[in-house]
Amino acid sequence: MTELARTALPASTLYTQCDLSQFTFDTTADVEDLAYFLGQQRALDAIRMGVGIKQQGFNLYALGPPGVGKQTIISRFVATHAAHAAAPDDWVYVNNFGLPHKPLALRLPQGRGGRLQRDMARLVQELRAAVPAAFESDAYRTQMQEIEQSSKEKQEHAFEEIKTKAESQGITLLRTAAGFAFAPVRDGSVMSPADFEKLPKSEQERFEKNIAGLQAELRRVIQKIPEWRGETQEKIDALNAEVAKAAVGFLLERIQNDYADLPNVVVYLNAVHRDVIANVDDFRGNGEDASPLAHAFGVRSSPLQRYEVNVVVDNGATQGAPVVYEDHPTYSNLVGRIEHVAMMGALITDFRLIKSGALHRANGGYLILDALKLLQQPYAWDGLKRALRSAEVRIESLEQMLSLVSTLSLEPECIPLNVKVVLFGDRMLYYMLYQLDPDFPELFKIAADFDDAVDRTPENTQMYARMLATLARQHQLQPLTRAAVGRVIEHGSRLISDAAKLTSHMRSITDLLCEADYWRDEAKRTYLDVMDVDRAIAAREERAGRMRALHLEHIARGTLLITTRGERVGTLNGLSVIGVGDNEFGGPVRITAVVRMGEGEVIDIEREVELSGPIHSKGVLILSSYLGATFSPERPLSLSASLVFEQSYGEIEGDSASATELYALLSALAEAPIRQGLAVTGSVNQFGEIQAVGGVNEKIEGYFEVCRVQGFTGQQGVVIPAANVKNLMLRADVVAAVREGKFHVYAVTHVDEGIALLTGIEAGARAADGVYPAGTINARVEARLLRMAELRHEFSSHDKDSEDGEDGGESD
Amino acid sequence: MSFPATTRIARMAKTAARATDPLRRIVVSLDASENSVVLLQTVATWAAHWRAQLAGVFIEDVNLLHLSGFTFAREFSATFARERAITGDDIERRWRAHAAQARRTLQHAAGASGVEATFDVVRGSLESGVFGGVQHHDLVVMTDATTWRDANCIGCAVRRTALSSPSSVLLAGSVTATRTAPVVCLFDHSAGRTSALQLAAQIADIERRPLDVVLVGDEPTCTKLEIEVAMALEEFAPGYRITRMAQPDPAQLRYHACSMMVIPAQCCSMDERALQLFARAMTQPILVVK
Repeated sequence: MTELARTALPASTLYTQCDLSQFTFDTTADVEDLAYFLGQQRALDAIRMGVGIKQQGFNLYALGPPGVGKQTIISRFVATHAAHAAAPDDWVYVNNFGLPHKPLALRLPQGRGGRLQRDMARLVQELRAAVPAAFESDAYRTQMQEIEQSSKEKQEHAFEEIKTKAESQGITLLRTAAGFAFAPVRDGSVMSPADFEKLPKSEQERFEKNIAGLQAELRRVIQKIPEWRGETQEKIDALNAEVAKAAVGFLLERIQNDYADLPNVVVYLNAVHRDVIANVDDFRGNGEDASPLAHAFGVRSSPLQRYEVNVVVDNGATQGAPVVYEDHPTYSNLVGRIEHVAMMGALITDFRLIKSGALHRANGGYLILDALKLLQQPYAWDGLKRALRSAEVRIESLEQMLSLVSTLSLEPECIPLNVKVVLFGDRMLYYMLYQLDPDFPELFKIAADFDDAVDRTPENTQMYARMLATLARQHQLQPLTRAAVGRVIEHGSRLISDAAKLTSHMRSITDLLCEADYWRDEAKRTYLDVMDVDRAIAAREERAGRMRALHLEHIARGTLLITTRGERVGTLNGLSVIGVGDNEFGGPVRITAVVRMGEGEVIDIEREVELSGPIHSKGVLILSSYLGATFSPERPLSLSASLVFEQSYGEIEGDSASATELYALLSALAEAPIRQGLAVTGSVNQFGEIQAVGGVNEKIEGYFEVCRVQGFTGQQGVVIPAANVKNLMLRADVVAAVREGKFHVYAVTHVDEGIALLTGIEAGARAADGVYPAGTINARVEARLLRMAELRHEFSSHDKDSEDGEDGGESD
Repeated sequence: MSFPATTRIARMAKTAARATDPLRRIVVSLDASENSVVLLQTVATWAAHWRAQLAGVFIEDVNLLHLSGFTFAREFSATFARERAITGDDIERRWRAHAAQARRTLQHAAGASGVEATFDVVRGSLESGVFGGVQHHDLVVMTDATTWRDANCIGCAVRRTALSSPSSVLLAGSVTATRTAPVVCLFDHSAGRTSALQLAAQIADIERRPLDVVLVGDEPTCTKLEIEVAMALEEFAPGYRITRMAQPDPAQLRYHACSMMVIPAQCCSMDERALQLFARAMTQPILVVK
């Protein structure tokens, strides 16, 4: 065993295996389902309370990272709760006979909305048969003819009187194409003008005078005709109303009796009754628009359509309270819309074209929405808030809402709203809404916070196995063997990068199971086994491995200068994580430091060229502070150092390289070569303590790959913060290499430990006299800094003397 | 009035099998009224069915021409009593416009029914222009309901002429019948009653309407008449309805809901005066069969 191997972490700490002996089942076929996903008790308690509170404003926001099963849990929980609730009422829109542009909303008990629709359709059909029959009856026709005859006789009597008077004066009343005229007559024919001229003058004058008198009388009679017609029309209307009442009365009474228990429907049916009688002629045609234009354009419409019933919410088949998930929550999909049809170049609408929205369908129940999708839809959020605030759904188009158009359209009566809205989305969205929208805390008072991890306790491990069994059944996958369950559980820890936790990111686990089941099927195995899980994990890495392979190739071919052998001063392999899409992989990056005398500045070249993020810059400043405070607390730090990520051309962020940079700097100052076989990750604070970083597994595995490509020497390994040991869930091949002594993982808590490991030289601790032991790294660094300070002082004294001399010369 | 082509062809074949068609020429007194258009379409269908000649006549009434010669003559519109002088030019212009309209209507109706039609403009009186030269086998159709119905002396003269004409006469009605209104035939002891009944049966068949036969007389008479009806209609109508009427009652007949009233010219149930009054009061078309 080498010196390095003796201080390395044992292989057993690099991967926490699942203890399969705790499972009593052979396959998950023997395991019970889990009602809800594991580890979401906090969220479930919040949902339970949110669902239970009936008061306004207690809507829910389920927050958590995508893929933890928020929607599934909410849907399942709410569905269970809703199943025990009463089904809500139906809602229909009907014509408002007084104000047709303001359709009426009627509430009916469950299932009776559709029944009213069918009853009204049947009523119209029956009226279309009954009304024409009544108006074609002999009795009606006789009465109608009597009225017409009476009117006609009245007119004829008036004309007859004039005619008789005219005849007595030798004058006839002629009917012309456009009206009437008087003319002198002889032998039954109109006298010719020539014969008239032959009459004595007095006779002619008598004719003219008589005709003038007759014309005046005729004028009076004709002027009376409209009045007589009006009287006749009134009689006809009264007759029509009487016949209509007799024809429709029974039919309408029947339907009114059927709905006698619903006062609002009775009011509507009374209005229908009045309207049918007032417009009974509509039932006497073929029921279609008889206008020539409508025929010319092939438009089919009927005035009888106003008696139709538009069922916007039909809960006839609903069991329990409705649970509606609106996948496309646009404004109109939420609050409903008013559709139009093109008719002869114009867009027209009526109450039949009112379409319900998700709020209508969920009324009396639950509406589940994806918060991000909701906010992405213009005005949908505003529409939802308005509906929740006012506790009613008002259907109006966006154009109306924004006052973009002023054309007359429908204003449907608002429907009272009693709905529990459950939004789900990520945490950032929740906090932004909470901070930026004052309505949000008022309307969404319950936050259900979903965890993305759960403690890897024995109890939770058992529950996890039940969850895997449930997922397998839900997705029609073959049952998992005990070993496969253990492997998935281990992978669950790896996904969360914590050996003591399990991921609750259900989508990842579900995807893994589906992919593993594919490989099981390929291998013709009955049960999903550990090999299938391993294959799925490997295949996933392989699929996403192009960039990683390219990175390795560049190192192998010397394009990227990474050395895993030998020793060098001021040069160290740092470790970084490269993220490409949803795939992340680790790899080494060469970090170098050079020092010279200066004024205490540590130049981060990445920051100078603006390729450094703020956290990285912060790390560099921290290590500068450490350096000054540790080695030059009472003297100016007369150092000028520069740090750089070699061959890095992209932005660098994070402080996980700050320890590495400090090691490089110490190496350069102490002129102590660093073992190139070791790579380092970790951040450092101002006291030199090494702090935990992220992506430790990926980083170790990435460097392991590089060592494998360049060949194992037995001196290679990775130095990580001791705080990250709990995160280790390394690949089996890495663990095996460690076990065989080919590769090592070291955990350090302080810079001094790290630099000693990297250089093989003790860091050294200050003795009581404040001096570091000779030959140690810290002593060499301090000595170098002291030398630099002295040199600087010398330089500054020389400069001052020169300046003084020059000044004195001038003064002399 | 229109029928499916196959039905019409079948009926035509049935008609061709009969020895003679009831009418050879249909003379139509035309004007430009809407009633005229409807009635013209109907009689054009009949003409096609009976293979009769269709002759349209437009009368330029000389009485109106005389009227225009008087300086004091005034015309009052029937709707608002608007008064205006009448000139010869006005009358001529109206005649030309109405004649052109009447010609188009006739051509359209004849073309739709597939019959040939003639059109003549005659200046004179309605009596001479329309009824001059008509024969027993002709049917004169008076489309202008107002002319022959109006209670003025000229109208009365036309009505008298029409009723005394040797031809059958169809006097237009002023209302449009419903689709199911029947053709009603008055059947009493009048001469020519069988011809009238058979013509009514044919019209009912053509127009696919029910046939109502009104028997006039006491019970024994009606029973005999009913047998006579059955024999007369054996060939023509598969079904009909009988109504009995003890005394001829023009008022009751007048209110009888029908699409057309068919009566024999020598109706013994009504004298000429009663017939004239009946014709004046009836709002449906009346077919007086000679």
